[in-house]
Amino acid sequence: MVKAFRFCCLAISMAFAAPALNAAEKPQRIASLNVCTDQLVLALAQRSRIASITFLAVNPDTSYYHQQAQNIPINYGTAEEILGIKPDLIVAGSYTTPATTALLRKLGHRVELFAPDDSLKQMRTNIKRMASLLGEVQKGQQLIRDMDIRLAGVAQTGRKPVAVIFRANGFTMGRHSLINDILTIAGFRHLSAEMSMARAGFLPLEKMIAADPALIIFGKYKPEHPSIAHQLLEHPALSMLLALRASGKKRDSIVIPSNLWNCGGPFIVEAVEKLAQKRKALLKAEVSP
Amino acid sequence: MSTLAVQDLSVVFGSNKVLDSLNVSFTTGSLVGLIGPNGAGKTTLLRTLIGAQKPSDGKIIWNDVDLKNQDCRSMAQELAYLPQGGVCHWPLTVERLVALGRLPHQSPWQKQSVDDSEVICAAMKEADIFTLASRNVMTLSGGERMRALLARALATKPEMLLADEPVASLDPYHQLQVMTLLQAMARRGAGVVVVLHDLTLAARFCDRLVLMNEGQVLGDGEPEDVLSEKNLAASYHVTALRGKNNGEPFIVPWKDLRHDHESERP
Amino acid sequence: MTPKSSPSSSPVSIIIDENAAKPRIGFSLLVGILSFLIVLLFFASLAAGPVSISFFQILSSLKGGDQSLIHIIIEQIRLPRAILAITVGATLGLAGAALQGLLQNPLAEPGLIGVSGCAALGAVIMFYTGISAVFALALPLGGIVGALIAVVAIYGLAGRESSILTLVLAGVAVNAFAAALTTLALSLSPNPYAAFEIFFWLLGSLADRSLSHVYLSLPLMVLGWVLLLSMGRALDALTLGEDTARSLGFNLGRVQAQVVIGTALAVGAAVAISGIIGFVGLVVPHLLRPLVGYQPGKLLLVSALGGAVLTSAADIAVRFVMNGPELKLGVLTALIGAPFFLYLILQIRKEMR
Repeated sequence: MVKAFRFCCLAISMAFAAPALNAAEKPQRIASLNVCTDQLVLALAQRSRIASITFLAVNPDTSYYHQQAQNIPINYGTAEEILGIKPDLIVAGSYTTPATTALLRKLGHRVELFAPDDSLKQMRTNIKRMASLLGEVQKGQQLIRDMDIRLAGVAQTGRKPVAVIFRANGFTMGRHSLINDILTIAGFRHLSAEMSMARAGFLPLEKMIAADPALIIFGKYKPEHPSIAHQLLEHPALSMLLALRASGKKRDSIVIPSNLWNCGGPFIVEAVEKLAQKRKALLKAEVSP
Repeated sequence: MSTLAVQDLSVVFGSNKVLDSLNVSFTTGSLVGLIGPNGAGKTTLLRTLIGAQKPSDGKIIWNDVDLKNQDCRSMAQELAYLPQGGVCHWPLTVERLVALGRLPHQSPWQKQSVDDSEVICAAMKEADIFTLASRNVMTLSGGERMRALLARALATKPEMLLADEPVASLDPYHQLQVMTLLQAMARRGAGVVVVLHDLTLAARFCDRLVLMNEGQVLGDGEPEDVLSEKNLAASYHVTALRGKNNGEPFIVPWKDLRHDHESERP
Repeated sequence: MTPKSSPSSSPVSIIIDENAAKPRIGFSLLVGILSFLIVLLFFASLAAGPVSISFFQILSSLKGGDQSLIHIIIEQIRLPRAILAITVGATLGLAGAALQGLLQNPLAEPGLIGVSGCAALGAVIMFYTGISAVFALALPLGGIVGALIAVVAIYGLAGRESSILTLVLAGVAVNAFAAALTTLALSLSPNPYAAFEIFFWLLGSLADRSLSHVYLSLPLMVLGWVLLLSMGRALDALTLGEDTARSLGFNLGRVQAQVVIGTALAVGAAVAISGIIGFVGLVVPHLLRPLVGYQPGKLLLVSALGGAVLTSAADIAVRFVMNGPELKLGVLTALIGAPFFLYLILQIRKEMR
């Protein structure tokens, strides 16, 4: 009883404390140890306040904001590098190397951990929380509002074709993933979710072909450098499946840049819009084959 | 009658002249004993004759044709080789082992013909191992294995057989048996060249002896002439006891000439 | 149990059953049985997979089925896999028998003496540098060159008529070197997946191979088979040692070259497609040798068929063993082959005492 009361007091005081952050209290030296927190920091904070982001932030394959990330000091996720920068706020993913985050906390730094974006809901929560930590609540709310407007513009009526994402080695995402929510909002049925895949897993090529998806989303990473993992994505069986014109159904494939949904952020809208466009084309082709 | 001859044959290993301008010929229809001390070059000579060793100089001539110009396969039909040691790498049956002798007569994809089977049987009978035909070669005694390998050479039906110490590890009974067989082969018209260390066997069974020493021919001719005191001393560095039994010679190495035992006795 | 007088120079006599008698099973019958097994396993391989497909569907698909999903699965995914299991298996069995005949050494097999390892290295270099993306044949050719280098290295290290021990040691050295260079090449690849693909190359797999892999490797493998299968008589002659074989009309240099090139062509092409699948070339010839009366020549065809049987069976088994991603094929053959290898070693130790 007493504990609950104390908790309520704490919560209330924090709620009041948050908007009370003014310019002087905004963190001035922000360090990010995770590519997804990098994205949020780059989207919300002024460049001058960003002290360090990960090396993946400048990689166009993993980071949407790779251009903005240029010329900002980068780190490789080690505690030593971070200590040198003397940050006043460190943000990381909850799966970032625990040893590193624990050490930084032990040395007295403020480390805020963010759960991975495995749904649109979690993504929104993360954006709001980051915005509040950085003292940019307004900006955060604006980002979410703009995103919602664009998402609302996506058509929801009509048939929902089956889509699946096929990544290197036949890896795919399941029900509890950002990709699942993006596909759903774009007006698709998610094959992996219907096959009761929870988070992520391997989809045997045979099973995918037998399930007959209408849209295959190829997730490639550095495809110009060969690997057996990517060779699977070029299997002739897949191109034959896509060319199949039986039962009046059209099948297609699309490559969505991985930086659009590797992490949660306002940019996921672009992925949704690309997919929605593809859906429109698929439905149109069916009407007039 | 066919002749296998070497002209000025030399084989050099590094600085060691194993064969030194050798000139010797072997004809069919006779049993020739090739004798001499260890390292004289006897094995090297045989190996060079069958093409396993390349000569550094000189020629090998088979029936007036240089061996270099002869086809490998046709030579294999006429010349058979029995190496030292009796090597057989896999545990074949005797019959399969002897059948290997027919390889030179078979074209690449040809199966064993009825003729081949007859020859194989005849060879096994002649070498007196027909009763062991389905036995595993590895389970035979030394003498039996040597007879199996000999049968293999017989199965080739060669004009000339080169045998390197075929009786080396055999007991006296089998030594006599094999020498008798080789002599019978020669009587039938084949040429047989056999490397021997046993001087009595050489003297008794061979029509002709070739004594080698340090890569050269020391003596070539009738056994009695080649096995002279002088030759034995120069090559083997021994003296021998000689005698005759029913007209057949025996010769037993008696004293080695490098240390005189008599003078050491009190 | 030692024979009364053994030819001391032969390394083979030590671990062969000395009481081998005439083969109890005729050659034609043996070939027939093995061929029948291959056909059986071929269809079983077509029927095995995560999607259940009826036998009737398989047959109608093979007859030139309609363009349906099932047909795609059968023709594009399962058929290449079934074919490769047979061809790669035949290659490994045949190469094992040929090498053992040439070296008169029952432990000679492409995996153990490093031929497969170097073939994998050659293929890895061709693949990850992107050369094979431009010129597809570069992949099996890389494997072939690697295999050739390995055989030359083995001859250089172990010599011609070497003991079992020397040959195995030379193989260990070549394998270690090849594995290290392969891992290095994979680590240097810019693609992050490459480093994990060491499992594919060192343990071998036929999963998700396509018909293009079949077309790429089959002609070269067949060429290698032709070269090796025609070595029967020469290997029989070598039973009596090199000198006798020479006197029987066989040019030793040519025999060696033909076995080496044939092995390199077939094994190089196979490994480039499937990775290293070990022990098939060790187990199959050893098991089948007594059935052909220990004759090296006859063992060639029979080992090829036996290798196809073993590899096909193993490739079917890997699809059922685990629920998650498939077990790598080489793991299964190693689980069978390594204990077998240990058994051979124990036999050698017993004889050497």
